[in-house]
Amino acid sequence: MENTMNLNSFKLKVKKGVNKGLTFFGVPANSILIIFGIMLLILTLIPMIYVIIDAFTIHLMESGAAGLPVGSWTLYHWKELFASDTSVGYFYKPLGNSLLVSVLACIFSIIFGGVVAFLVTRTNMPFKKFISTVFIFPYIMPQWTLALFWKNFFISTNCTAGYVGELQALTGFASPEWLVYGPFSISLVLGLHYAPFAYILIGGILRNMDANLEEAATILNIPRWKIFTRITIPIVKPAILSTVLLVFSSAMSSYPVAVTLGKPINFEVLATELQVMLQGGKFSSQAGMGSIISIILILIGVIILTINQVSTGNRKQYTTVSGKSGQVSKNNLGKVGKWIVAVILSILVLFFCIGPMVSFIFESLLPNSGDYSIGFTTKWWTSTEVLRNGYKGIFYTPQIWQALGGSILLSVVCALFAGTFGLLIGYAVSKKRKSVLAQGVNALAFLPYLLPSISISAIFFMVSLNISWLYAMPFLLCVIVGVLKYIPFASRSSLNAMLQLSGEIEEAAMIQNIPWWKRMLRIVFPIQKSSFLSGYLLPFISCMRELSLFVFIAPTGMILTTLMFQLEETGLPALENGANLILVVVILIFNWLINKVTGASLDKGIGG
Amino acid sequence: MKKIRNLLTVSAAMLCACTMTGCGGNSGVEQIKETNKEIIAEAQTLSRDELMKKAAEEIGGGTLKFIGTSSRFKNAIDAFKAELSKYKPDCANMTITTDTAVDGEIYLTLCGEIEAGISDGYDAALVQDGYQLQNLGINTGYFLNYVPKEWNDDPETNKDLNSNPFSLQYNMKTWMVNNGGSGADVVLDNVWDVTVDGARIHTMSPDNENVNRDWLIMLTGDEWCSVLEEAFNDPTNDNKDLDLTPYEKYGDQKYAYAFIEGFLKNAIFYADDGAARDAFMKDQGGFGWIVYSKIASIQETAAITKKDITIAALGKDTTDGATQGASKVKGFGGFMYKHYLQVMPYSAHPWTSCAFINFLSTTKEGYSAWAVDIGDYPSMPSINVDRTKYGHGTLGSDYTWTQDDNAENVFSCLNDPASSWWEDQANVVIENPAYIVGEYNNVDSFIRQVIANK
Repeated sequence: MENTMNLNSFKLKVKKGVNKGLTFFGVPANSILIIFGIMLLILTLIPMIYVIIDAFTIHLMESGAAGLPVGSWTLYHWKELFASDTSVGYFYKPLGNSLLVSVLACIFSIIFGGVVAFLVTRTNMPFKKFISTVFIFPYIMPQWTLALFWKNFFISTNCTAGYVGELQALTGFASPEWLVYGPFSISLVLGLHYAPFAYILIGGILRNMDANLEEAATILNIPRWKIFTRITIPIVKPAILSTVLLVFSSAMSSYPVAVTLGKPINFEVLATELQVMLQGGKFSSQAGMGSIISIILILIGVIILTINQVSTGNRKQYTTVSGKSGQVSKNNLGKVGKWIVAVILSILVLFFCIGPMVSFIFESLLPNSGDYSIGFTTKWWTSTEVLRNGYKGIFYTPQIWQALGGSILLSVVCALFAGTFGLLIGYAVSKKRKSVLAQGVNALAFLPYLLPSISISAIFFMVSLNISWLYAMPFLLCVIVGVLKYIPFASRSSLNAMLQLSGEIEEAAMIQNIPWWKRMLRIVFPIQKSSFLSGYLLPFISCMRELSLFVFIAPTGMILTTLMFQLEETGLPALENGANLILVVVILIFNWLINKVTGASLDKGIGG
Repeated sequence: MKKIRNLLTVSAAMLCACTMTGCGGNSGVEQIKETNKEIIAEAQTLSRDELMKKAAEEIGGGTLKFIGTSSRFKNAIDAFKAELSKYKPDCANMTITTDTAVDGEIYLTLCGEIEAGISDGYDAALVQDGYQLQNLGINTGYFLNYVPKEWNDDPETNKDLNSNPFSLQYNMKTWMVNNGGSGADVVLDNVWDVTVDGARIHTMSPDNENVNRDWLIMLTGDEWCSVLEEAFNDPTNDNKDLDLTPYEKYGDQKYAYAFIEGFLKNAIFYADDGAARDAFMKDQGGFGWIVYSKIASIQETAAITKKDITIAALGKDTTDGATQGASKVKGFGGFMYKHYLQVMPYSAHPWTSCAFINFLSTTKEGYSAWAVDIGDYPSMPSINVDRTKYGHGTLGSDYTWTQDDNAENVFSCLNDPASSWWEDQANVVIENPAYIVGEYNNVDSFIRQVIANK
């Protein structure tokens, strides 16, 4: 009798549990969080564990210097990095430089991006479409392009190993070295490169912001500056924080700009040290130290992430898109003022955004890099004769076009997966943002962004060696790594969009018993289409110009960026520049096509 | 909604399963390695003809997976396929991969595959940096060494220096001066000149390519310390007042350490030789320590010309590398590092790997991929191409260059003497992996300190 009662009670408990489970998973946001939580946990924990183990292990090439057997546990790397004769030069100085450059880059990007976003979305300035379209170019282009352009333009006889640069040739003004090399130029270039982040994120909110709040304040005779600081700024605060998070982390691990504008004066940052230390993965002679720097970069990122997380969790939800009427008020810059602002902004945008493109075109038509003395040649594009090492002109070199096809395919696949996963994560996190699970998944989704690309590449390469079917499919491996790395773009973009969206919109449909997928497709997505599409476009663009992330896993020639390395090694910089130009043009075409087909694009997303 | 939920759940389960399934394994690969060792031992006794026959049978229309730090081997692929096709027509359809990677990455790829026991990975490789090769490929027993019979039988090849590990060729980094415009009078006639305060040396960072560290380590050997001492005391040394006291603690190696520090302090580092060359060409009066072959690809223009370049060892007015007299620089004229060819232990195509290595290293056709340029010297001198008048030819008014041995001397810097001249007369430092491995840790920490505190 007692046994029967126990059994019944057990059955009841099971039934209750199952029911609880069904109820829990019946909420789409919960299912999404659990599924992606598991996926992200596995994919992000693998590299994290690898990095931590590496930081405490003696590797083959370190054994001699450390006097310890391979594989033994040690604090040797920590001592070398933090408390040896080389610590200042290899760690403390680069760390200080990295922090300085990253903070300045954040400031520059928010100022550039924020001001342009405000002018485009909230004023009656003319040329909006042009400015909006062109402003995203620096992000589309590989970082080093802008750095190289900056160097070519400003370099002067005042610099270390300097020569007459473009500005000096045109005006006779010899720029001081600090303007060409060092923290100012590096952070300014990074700020310009990442300004589109701020532009897209801040602009997205400004564009969708209901003007009622500001208008109410205006009616109450509140001064304009107070409206700006008390209403506008708090509303765009999530976007500013997201921008800081993205820019700071990106700038901390940015390598190409620091190499171009820092190396000539020995201005090292952590990323340049890291790149060297991890070049050979676990077979590098400084693999352990490289892993510690990776951990430090991750920790710095986690701290910022936590700050952002606390802020997201605590702050009031500033819904900017509601079911009620909404309108955007435009600030009047004045009859003359609007033209002055537009012209100045256009010149600046043209200089920074079109300048590198023009430079790209010229470089692909020059006999030698940066040498304009005898004009241009089209042979790098049109030669049917072999120029060097089997390469003909770009039009007649099939490897370049095959690699371009590979880059497009990889980027499209990565963007589709990363964009969709990010969108779902953003949706689920916003719906359950008070729960620990949501906050955990949100943090996990952002973690890959903090892992240095080269580190991820080396680690996943090593992991794939133990999964033979995966190793035999480098494309699939690239997709996995690409999706993991780019989910943060999509999830941040989606989360920002979802946080603006009032719950009442979906609730109305829920009352009507509209299924979840229909609500997503018919209501949520269309309203915030521009932000969501950014979540697809950002991974696509990043993937198209990515090298470090795929360096160990993409066979040469599979994608254009790895082929560019071969072109450089062959001594064909014009072909390399031409290939870069093709990359940028292809991205712009995709942006334009998406704009035509869906009515949205990175720039259109905020209403240029 | 249920369907979507089910789909997502199944996807997650699949992902977990896929991620957690480690399908790799080492069973059987050791047997492959032993078999491959036997094959290589036999291949070393076979003539090229016999080897090609075996390779053609083995590869047919299949794929040989090859990777290199230099991509030029791809230029030899068609000729190799044509050669194999003579033995088996199917070979016309064979493929050879043309993957490239820098010297750090390539060892991760190769050693990673070997440690994981991948049996369908790379068959063979062209690698550089004796230090990493010695530590990662040889001391571990990972890479297999094959020496072609023709190479071994050739009395002119240096077996001690180049047979184990087997080297295809020497690549040379050399001193150069930009004598254009305001730098017309700058002379580099003693290696110590580059250590004078304020000198500018455009070069690759040792942190970006390890061979740039290897040559500095080589300088600490007895032979090179004596050479540096002699050059220091020579009247041509512009840095005679250098205080050597801080280096006394290094004993006989003090000259080497003083030179290393002086060089590193004046060096302007770049991530690759191409970038170093481009900057060097714009820096009148500047020095370059750059791969010699890189200057061949400079296009002539009104502003940039190879006429401005002086190779320090050759001097300003060299007209013919074949009749080149004594070196014009005291100390050493350059550094020859090597390109090594190695077979991977678990190669699925050991015969073909050996045949391809044989073809690249013992035939003019195979080596022609490198022979087109100055600064590369095969370890088998008989397949070398004469480039002693490589700077002779005609430069058109549109700057089109036509090389012709019988025309006038236009670019002195391109008249490349034979490898033997560089070794005997220009006293170049030659990479010795065993020495580098022995001294690496001592010198490396010094190099790091100097770079870190620049």
